[in-house]
Amino acid sequence: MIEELLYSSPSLTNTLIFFGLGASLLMMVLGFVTYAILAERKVMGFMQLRIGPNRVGGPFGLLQTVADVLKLLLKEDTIPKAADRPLFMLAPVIAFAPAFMVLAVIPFSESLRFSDIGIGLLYYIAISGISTIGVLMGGWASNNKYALLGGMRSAAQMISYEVPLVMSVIGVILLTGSLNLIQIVEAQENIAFLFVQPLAFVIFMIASVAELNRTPFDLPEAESELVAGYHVEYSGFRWAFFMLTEYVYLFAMASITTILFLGGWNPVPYLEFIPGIIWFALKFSVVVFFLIWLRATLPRMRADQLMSFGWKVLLPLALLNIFISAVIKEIWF
Amino acid sequence: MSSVPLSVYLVLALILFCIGLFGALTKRNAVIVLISIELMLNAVNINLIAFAKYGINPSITGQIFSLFTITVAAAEAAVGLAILIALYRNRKTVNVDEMDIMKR
Amino acid sequence: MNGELILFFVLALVAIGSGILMLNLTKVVHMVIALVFTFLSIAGLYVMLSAEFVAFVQVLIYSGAITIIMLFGIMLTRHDDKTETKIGVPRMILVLTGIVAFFVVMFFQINDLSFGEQAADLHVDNTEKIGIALYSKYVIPFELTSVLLLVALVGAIILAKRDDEDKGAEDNE
Repeated sequence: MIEELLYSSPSLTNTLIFFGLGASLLMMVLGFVTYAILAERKVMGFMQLRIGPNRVGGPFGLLQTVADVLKLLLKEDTIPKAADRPLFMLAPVIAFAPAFMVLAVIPFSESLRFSDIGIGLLYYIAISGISTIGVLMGGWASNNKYALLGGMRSAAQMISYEVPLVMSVIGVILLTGSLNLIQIVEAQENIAFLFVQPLAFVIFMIASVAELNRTPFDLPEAESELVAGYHVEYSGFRWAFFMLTEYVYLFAMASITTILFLGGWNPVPYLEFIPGIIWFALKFSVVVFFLIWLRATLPRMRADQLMSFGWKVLLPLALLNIFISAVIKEIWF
Repeated sequence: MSSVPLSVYLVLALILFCIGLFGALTKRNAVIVLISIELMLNAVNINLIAFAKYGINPSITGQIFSLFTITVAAAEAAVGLAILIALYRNRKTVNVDEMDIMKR
Repeated sequence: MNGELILFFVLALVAIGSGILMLNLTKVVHMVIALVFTFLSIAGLYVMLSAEFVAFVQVLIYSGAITIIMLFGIMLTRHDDKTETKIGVPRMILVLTGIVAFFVVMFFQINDLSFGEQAADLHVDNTEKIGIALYSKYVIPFELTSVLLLVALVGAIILAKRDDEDKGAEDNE
């Protein structure tokens, strides 16, 4: 149904339908964010032999995040006196809007997709780079040394790790011959790229954790040294926007990992009777669990270790991977 | 077929070029001068891509030329900024009209 | 008045408006942020001109990389600076008349320019076409650009590195 809609000629009804679809996707993502936060706290609790949130909303604390969001909505929205007011107010918007824009190119199954553009992967990488400006602006506009340090660190880290992230994906693009995410999934019908490109997968996972500012690489918001990093002066709903950005990117990055390396909606052999969307959801959940697992396990890195690891280890490995993929492509495909 | 004529794109590019030129000639902060030059390069790119679609020989060549321009612009920004930081370390200023050590 | 025209006007308005805003703001950071919007709407114009690959390269390079380098440059130098344009009035008038004269001359040249033909299939497999042309017809300029980028990278690191200390662990953008 959506596919016909994508190739139909534009009209007012179509615009309204797309608007409705976009709004429902937003609701879906917000639902994911709500329960991803709860799942993260629960899983980390169990890994650390605690119970995690269990007071609000039934047996598993199911309404904990809802209560948190309501608290944030009712909280006073403070703007520091010395802050740069227009930038301070604009920063959360600039950080959040690209996070939701990148979801437009992600295909969830054969029929559930919102676009079919030839440069899907480039779109994702390009648009997600805009969020960095929002983070840097937020740190700058707060007029606070910790926020500025956090923002600068965040921008440096995001730019540095974008390079290996993109380089590791080039192997996949070489084997597929397309930037279109749908064609990348279709190329994995027989075997997922995880088994063809294991090195690229490892580099991509490490770089994506760094792009998401999550724990071994959460220097931008290192609580013990920077208080909270770039959003230290934010409160209430503006702070919630930054938090939302982080978790929407978690959603997007886990989806992209599923699509690029785990075969998207393609089923495991002999289990084809299960529909594609369920396979997508399963693989997606495994990736999200893996990211939470990493956070509960690994300690934080130091800033200089982070930079030298990115430039001196990941980047040469990614270049090597491109070379190997080119050789493989010449010989076998 | 597109209904926006070629000349409209060219006029837009001209206006952006003039804004960039004005910024580059009147602003004192070196960063702003650099980024005004980037704006001028962008205006040129609009022309190249518009001619790739509407020119005498419409082809992909204009888009490839604009890719080269973008690459050169990136290199220019990196080197320009490095020079700026080196100058700031020695002279404690970022204003272009105070960087006149060769004149004295 | 169809959709394409409306889209063009909106994008052009954002591009020119942010450009004018850049000229009139006082804080340096605000100026750079204003230009981000110009760069983004220029990317939108590229999409309208069926150059989707160049459009997203534009977003990646300009909004993602160059602007952030510029912001870093501002923050590493004197950042509380307000550029009051203290250049003299005669020079301002001189520059302004020069630019206006340039604008008028060029405007009358290009006002009614039209070649009557359009490329209809540039957007079909745009990336593939660019790739094929880049690696066959333009392969030597392409390789030269890679050398240029390498030279720029090395040059920028050496210039920005402190030479008085041996351990100049400066950010290597």
